[in-house]
Amino acid sequence: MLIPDKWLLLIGTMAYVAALILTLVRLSDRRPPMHGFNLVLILCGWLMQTTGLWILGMEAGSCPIRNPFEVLQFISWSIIIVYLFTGQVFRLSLFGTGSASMAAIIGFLAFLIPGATHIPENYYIGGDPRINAHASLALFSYGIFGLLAVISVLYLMQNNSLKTKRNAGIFRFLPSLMDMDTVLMRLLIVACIVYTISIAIGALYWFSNLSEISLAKLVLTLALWVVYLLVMFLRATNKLYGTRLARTLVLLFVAALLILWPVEASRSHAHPHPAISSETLPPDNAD
Amino acid sequence: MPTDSPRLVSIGCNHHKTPLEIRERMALSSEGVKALQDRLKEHPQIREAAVLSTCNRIEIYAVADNGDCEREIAGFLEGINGFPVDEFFQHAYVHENLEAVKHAFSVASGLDSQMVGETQILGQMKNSYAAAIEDKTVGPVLHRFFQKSFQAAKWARTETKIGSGQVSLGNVAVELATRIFGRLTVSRTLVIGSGEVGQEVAKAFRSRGVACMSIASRTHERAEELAREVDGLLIPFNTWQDTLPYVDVGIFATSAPDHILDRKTLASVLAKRPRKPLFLIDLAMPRDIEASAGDLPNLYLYNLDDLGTIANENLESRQKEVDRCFAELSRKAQYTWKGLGLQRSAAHKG
Repeated sequence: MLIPDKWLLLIGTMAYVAALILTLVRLSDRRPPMHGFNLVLILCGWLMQTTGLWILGMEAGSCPIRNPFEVLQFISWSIIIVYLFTGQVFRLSLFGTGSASMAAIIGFLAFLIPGATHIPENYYIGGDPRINAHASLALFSYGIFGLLAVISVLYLMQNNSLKTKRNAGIFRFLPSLMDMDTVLMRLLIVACIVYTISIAIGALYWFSNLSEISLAKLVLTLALWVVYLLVMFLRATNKLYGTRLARTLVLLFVAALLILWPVEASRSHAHPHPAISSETLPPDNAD
Repeated sequence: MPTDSPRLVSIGCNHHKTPLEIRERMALSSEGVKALQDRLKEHPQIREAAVLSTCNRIEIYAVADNGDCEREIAGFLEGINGFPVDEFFQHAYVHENLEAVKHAFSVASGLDSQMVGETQILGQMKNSYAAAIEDKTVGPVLHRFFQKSFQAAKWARTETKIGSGQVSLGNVAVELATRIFGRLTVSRTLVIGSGEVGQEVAKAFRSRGVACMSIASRTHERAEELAREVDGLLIPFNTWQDTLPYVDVGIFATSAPDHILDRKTLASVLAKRPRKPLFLIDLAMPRDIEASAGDLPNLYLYNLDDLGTIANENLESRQKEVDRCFAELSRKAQYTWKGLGLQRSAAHKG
C-alpha cells in the first residue's frame, strides 16, 4: 500500500494526465483547448505534488532528492513550477498541456522504475548546505531543460505540419514558430543561469573536498553545463536555430536524464556517511 | 463540311485528374487561348466553340459534327503549348450532350472547383463566353448553353448553402502565416504579379494589418491599383529579388511562362536571414517558384493546390448541401438539354 506522500504524488501526476486528456478530447472534437480549466487542473496537481514532496523533504531533512523516485518527482515538480511562472508571460498555446504531459511522463517514470524509492542505507545528502543547494538547483534547471524539450517538441510538430501541409486537429492550435523560437532562447538563458549558479555553488564544496568527488559525476555535470552554454552561444550567434536547435534541445534533455543515473550512483558512493536517523542527527534536529 | 447531326462536347483537363505539375505544362497564355479559339473556328467539323482556361482547368466546349474531333482538338492544343496528344488523353475527360451540360452546370456553380462553392469560376466562364462571342465562335447552341449555365450557377449560389462556411484562399494563407510568425503586424509582405487570386490574398494580409506590403508587377497599371487598394508600396519589377531577404511573406502570382525563383536563389536568400522563416505562396500557373525549394529548411512553400486542399477541409460538413445541389443541377441540366434541340442527333447516335 502506498504511503500518503506517494498517494499525493500519484494524484498530482494524475491531474497532469487529466489536463492532457481534456485537451485531447477538446481537439478531437475540433474545439480549442480550455486554457483556464487546464490551468486549474495543473495547479491542483502541482499543489498535490508540492505537499507530497514537502512530506518527503521533512522526512529527509533536506530537499527530497535521495533516490531516483524523488529526483524524478522533483524534476516533474520543477517543470510545472517553471511553467506556472512563465506560462502566463509567454502565452503559448498548448504550452500548459505540453508541460503537463512531460511532468506526467517523468512523474509516472518515477513510479515505474523498479527499486526507485530505495534509500541507500549509507546515503547521506551532503550534510553540507552547499552540496544540497547545488543538487536542488541542478535538478531545478532540469525542470527548465524539460520545458525547453516540451517547446522543442511543439516546434518540431508545428514545423512538420507546415512542411507536410497538414492543418487539421492539434496542428491548428500549436503556437507559432517565431513565438516558440523567442521563448526557447529566453528559457535557454534562464536554464543556463540557474545551472551555472548550481555549478558555482557545487564548486565551492568540490574545491574544499576534492578527495570525495567522483570524477564521473564531475565530468558529466560539467559536460552538460558546457554543452548547454554552447547551445545558447550558437543560438545567440544564429549558428543553431530552427529545427536543428529543437532537435538538439530534445536530445540534450534525454541525455541529461540519462546521465542522472551515473551521477546518482556516484553520489551515493561518494558519500559513504551513515544514513540519516534520529540517532545520527544533532540533538536539536532529533525528534 | 458540317452534317445535320451535331453533338455537344466538352473536353478538358482539371485539378481532379491532373496533377499541378502536368497542369502547368499544359497551361495556356491569353494568346494561346486566342490561337486555340482561332483553330477551332477554322475546323470544318466544329460549328461552335469556346475555351475556358484557368489555373485549375482547360476546357473546350464545342458543338461538333459526328466524328472524332476530340483528337483533333487535343492536336490543336499540342500545336500551341506543345503538350503531347497521348499524354493529354491520359488525364482528359470527354463529356457529350446531356453529360456535357451537367458538367458545365457543375463548373459554373463552383461544384467542380478545387474550393467547392467558390464563385470566381463563374466570372472566368463569363470571360470565356465573352471572348468566344468576340471571336464569333458561338452560335445558338452555345449561347443557350452558357446562359443556362450562368442561371444554374446563380441558382446554386442563392438557393443553396454550398458557399457558406467556405474559407477563402486569402484566409487560409493568413492562417498559415500566423502559424509561422504569430502576430502579422510586424511581418513584411511582398506581392509579385497582380493577378486576381494574388490580389485576394494580398488584401487578406492587409486586413490582418501586416507591417509593410511591397508590390511589383510587369503590368504597372494593375500593380498601381493594387498598391492603392492595400496601401502598399510599389516597387520596380526588376528590384523585387533584392527585397526578398527582408520580407517574411512572398505572394507570387505572375503569368511568367517559367520559374522566376529557383532553389539556389532561395537558399542564398535564406542564408542572408538566418533564423527567420520565409513563407512563400505560389499562386501562379505555371508556378513561379521551383517546387524543390520547398525542402529548404526555414522555408514554407505553398501552391494553389495546397491552399485549396486546406480550404476544403470543412467540406465534409457541407457535403449534404453539395449533394442536394448536384441533384437539382442534374434535373436542370436535363431540362436545358431538351431545350438545346440536339437530342435527335444524340438519340440517332445512341
